[in-house]
Amino acid sequence: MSREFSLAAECEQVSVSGAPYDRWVTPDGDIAAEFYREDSGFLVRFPGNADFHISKKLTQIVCIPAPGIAQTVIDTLFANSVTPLIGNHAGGLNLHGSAVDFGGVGAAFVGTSRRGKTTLAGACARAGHPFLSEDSIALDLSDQGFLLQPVRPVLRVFGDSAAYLTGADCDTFDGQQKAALDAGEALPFATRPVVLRAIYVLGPGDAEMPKITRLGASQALTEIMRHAFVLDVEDKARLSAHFFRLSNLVQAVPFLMLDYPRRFSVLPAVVNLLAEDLLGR
Amino acid sequence: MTISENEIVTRNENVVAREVGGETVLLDLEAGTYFGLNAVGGAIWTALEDGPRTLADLCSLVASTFDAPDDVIESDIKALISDLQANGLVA
Repeated sequence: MSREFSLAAECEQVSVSGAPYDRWVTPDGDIAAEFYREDSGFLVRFPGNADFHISKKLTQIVCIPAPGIAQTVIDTLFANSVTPLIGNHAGGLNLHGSAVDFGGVGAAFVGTSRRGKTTLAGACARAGHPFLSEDSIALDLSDQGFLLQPVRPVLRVFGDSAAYLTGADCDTFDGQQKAALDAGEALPFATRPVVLRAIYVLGPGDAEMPKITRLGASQALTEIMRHAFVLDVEDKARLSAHFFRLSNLVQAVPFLMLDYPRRFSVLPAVVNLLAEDLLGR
Repeated sequence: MTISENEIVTRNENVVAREVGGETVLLDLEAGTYFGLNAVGGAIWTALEDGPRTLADLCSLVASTFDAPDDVIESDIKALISDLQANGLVA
């Protein structure tokens, strides 16, 4: 299906009549996105950043940025949120998380916000394992199994992570804002799909040393439902179909809990543990 | 709340289920919430997918499949049905 994306002139976000039918709320309680119905389809509002109007048939997407919002923010919202929402609504399988290519074997990292998914993908890339995505995992089912698709050659991380991944001084980056690190020789990006070998759910950081434990299938399914992109939570047929696709994923791919202390000095050991774990699967 | 043997249990039509790894996961499509059921709970859910059942029916079904004393089965099923009712998964 072809989709037409257009960028309209920037405009203040005016209040929408009626309550949103769904919201994304961050762990801090902030509203990350609101979902509204409109005659032509859906409005996905990222407060303070942009409105995305999506037609019912998903063929047209119009973005109206809020005043002063940088193009990179629009690109990020489109790639990491709008595209996976549309993909899942159309029957695809996209998850919130990052992914890495370990020598032709794919690993995906999921977990709630601020668990370190992007930093871990960056640490893997820094160790020579190219990343495929930093915030949105795109999966296709093939004869070989589930394929991880390359999404976007950018890592967006907070200042301390950016300094660690680039080797720069901490003062180089704003600690409060995310920095966008382009892929390159030091942080390679995988340009081809790889077969997904395992999905790691990032734990809270309670472990004293890097540790991987197996998750039961039902636990994995309830966990992965939290990291799915759903455009219309009231569309029961699509929600049900998405649930069944995720069930198939859970039965086809091992789900593991990965926990480690959230210290940069530990990341090389985490990467080594992942490489060993994947080799054994 | 006490559940009588003749009470009819009906599953919520807005709940879908999938068995994964020997357990059954329920998704309430209206509430967007998930529930996990063990093997006994999964067997009860499967029975309810065929239509409403009395509590006595469900106890008989479980007794014919799982090895446990009748009073334990009845007590466990009453607790499970109560829990499912409280979460709006069955009526």
